[in-house]
Amino acid sequence: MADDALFGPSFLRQLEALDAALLRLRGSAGEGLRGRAGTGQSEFKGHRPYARGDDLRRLDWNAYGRLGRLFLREFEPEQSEALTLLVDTSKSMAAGQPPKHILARRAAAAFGFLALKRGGAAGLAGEASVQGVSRFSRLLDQLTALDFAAGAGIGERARALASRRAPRNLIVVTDALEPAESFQPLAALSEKRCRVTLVQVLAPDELDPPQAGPCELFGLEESATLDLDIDASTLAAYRAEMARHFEMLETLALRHGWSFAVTDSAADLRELLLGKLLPAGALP
Amino acid sequence: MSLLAAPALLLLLAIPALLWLALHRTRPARLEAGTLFIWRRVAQQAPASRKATRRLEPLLWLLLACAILAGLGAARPGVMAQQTPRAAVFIERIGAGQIEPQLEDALGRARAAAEGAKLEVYMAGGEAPAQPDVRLLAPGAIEAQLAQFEARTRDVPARILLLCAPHPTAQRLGLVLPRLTAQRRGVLHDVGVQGEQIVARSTPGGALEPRGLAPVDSRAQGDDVLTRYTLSQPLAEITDSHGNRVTIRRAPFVVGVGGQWSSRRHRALYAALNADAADEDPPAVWLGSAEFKPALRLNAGAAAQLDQAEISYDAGHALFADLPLGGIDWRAGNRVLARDSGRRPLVSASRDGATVGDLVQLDENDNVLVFAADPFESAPIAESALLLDNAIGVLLGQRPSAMPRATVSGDLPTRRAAHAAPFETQGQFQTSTVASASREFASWLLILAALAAVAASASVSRRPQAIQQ
Repeated sequence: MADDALFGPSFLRQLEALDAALLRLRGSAGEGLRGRAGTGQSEFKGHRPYARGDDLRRLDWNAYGRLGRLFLREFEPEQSEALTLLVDTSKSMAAGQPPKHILARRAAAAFGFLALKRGGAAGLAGEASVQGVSRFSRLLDQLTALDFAAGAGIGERARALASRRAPRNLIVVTDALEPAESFQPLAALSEKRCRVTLVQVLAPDELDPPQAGPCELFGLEESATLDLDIDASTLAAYRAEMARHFEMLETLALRHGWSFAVTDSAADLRELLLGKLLPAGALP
Repeated sequence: MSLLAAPALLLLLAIPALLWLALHRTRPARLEAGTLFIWRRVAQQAPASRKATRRLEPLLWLLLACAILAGLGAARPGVMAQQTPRAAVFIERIGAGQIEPQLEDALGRARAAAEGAKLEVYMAGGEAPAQPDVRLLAPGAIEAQLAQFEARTRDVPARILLLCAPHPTAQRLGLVLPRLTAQRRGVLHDVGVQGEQIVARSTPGGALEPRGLAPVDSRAQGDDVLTRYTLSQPLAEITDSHGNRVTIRRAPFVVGVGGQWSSRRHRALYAALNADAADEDPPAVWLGSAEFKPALRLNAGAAAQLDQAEISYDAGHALFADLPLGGIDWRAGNRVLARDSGRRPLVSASRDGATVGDLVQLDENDNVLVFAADPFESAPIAESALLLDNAIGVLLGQRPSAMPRATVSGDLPTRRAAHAAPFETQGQFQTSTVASASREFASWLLILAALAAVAASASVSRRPQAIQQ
């Protein structure tokens, strides 16, 4: 059962509004997954007579030349074009104000909603995909059921995906605060023609921590503590380390053709999708 | 260093409590982070400098300082000092000016009697003897000196008085010691001038040393010895064996002589005055002069028949003091002065109740004594000399015979001081005045504690803010 606080009616209205805005921005509707750069792998389903209002770009001009009548080409999305959503369920996603997992799940839901609206399929990694907007609630149920208390990291989950049939479109929502080797399974998926979109969600205090002075840091992920004096020099070192980490992620994204966006957990979903992911060509 | 209120040190127990609270408060805050992935890398860069350490804030230091200072201040630390008792010493002077014989001896006996007390020495006189730390009292009679001493030493618990002779007031004030342990002899304590004679008074037994003086005689008078001298030099001095000395200087007495003062009798009377005719000073009086003043004028009356005339006198006037009036024939010369409202008649002649005229007038404004005839010529020499002495006395206010013909300068001890002698100790010394006192630092410590408290209240403590990750 979907969490009303997380995926309530207002959220659904927000998704509808996002969809409409996306269509306006793209200039037409119903282009589906084929509109995404580098795709066009949909399976031809057949023809049907043209009716007013149909997308003229789907007219089969060859058939018109031979038959003298207007027919519209219809495609059936391939199973491989289904959107696979991989949400980081490690303990660190529970941190932050607001917690990172909230925006992570909403972003994943938005990706799924847009995919279903475009006639595609969407599903959480390891779960059965759903197709059709009417089944969107099942996707929300899957997202609601995610357990961030004992989940595995991105690397392990991606490795499991790579061992099976590689998905064609993989949306990864994570805080990505892991070493470079954790992203090797994603690189392996990329080599299997899987298109990867990496959305990094960080808490505001992870992006810009305050000068807290002497403190005992308790890592939720590690269940360990670290005594540290967070003064100005420590913060400078922290920012330098974060910059190096971002650079590593961007290098990986560039090398393997990933779409990559960074946001903080307090950011607006619309801003994330339209402001960052749409320009990156990451939206369905 | 000792503590006058040691139990107040219990306030210092606040210090460990304050430290415990501070350490508890400064324990590093426990902050949650999603992952330590980045933080561990930061810690590995400079682990030593970035390790969380407990830092005591300035506020804590100020509060600790405040507690320590307040605790110590409340305990009243101080340096205990045994305060030296004070004693006031009055030394009656036996010398004069800056000379004060046997002062060290007197101070030594005072110190011995004071039993170690710190002495405040008082002496009377216009100038202090060559002795530091002597407080001067106004000179005067011994009663006045003792009254001053009592008034100025009201806050001094003990007194010692070294007197030349016992005094009933002194016993009430404190311990009375004799100023001297042995009586001095031949102490010069008074030199006076009587006319041309210098009279010196001294205690018996010692010889005086005159210079420029010719001794006349010497005799005992009561406890003193009177020695009379005459000046043989314009400047003379008398010294005793104790250093007391006076200087005697002849006082000039210049008498002018006018044209009316020219007979042998006149010259003899002038010589009897022993005037200093050669002195450069202007004459004090003129004899027989019609020009200068003050003066005696002679033969100023008009001729008149004075046989059978009655003579009247202003008997109380100084002109006739000690004068045998019967020896002078005022009628001789047969001259009278017309009555003048500006002149006072001293001798008048009348007949049958009617005034014939005045024989002697005094012009008090012009200070001129006018004689109608010349009684100095006609009277016997002795009466003439007495009349002249009186006449000059009328004009100058003092007869030449009584006029000091010398001035004396120099300080001499008083008669009481000169006759100072040992006597039995009287009164008692108040020895119950030794007190202890301390120099405390409590006020300074409490002031510093207050400053620390003010600074603590002004400081702003900053607690680490929580990181939510």
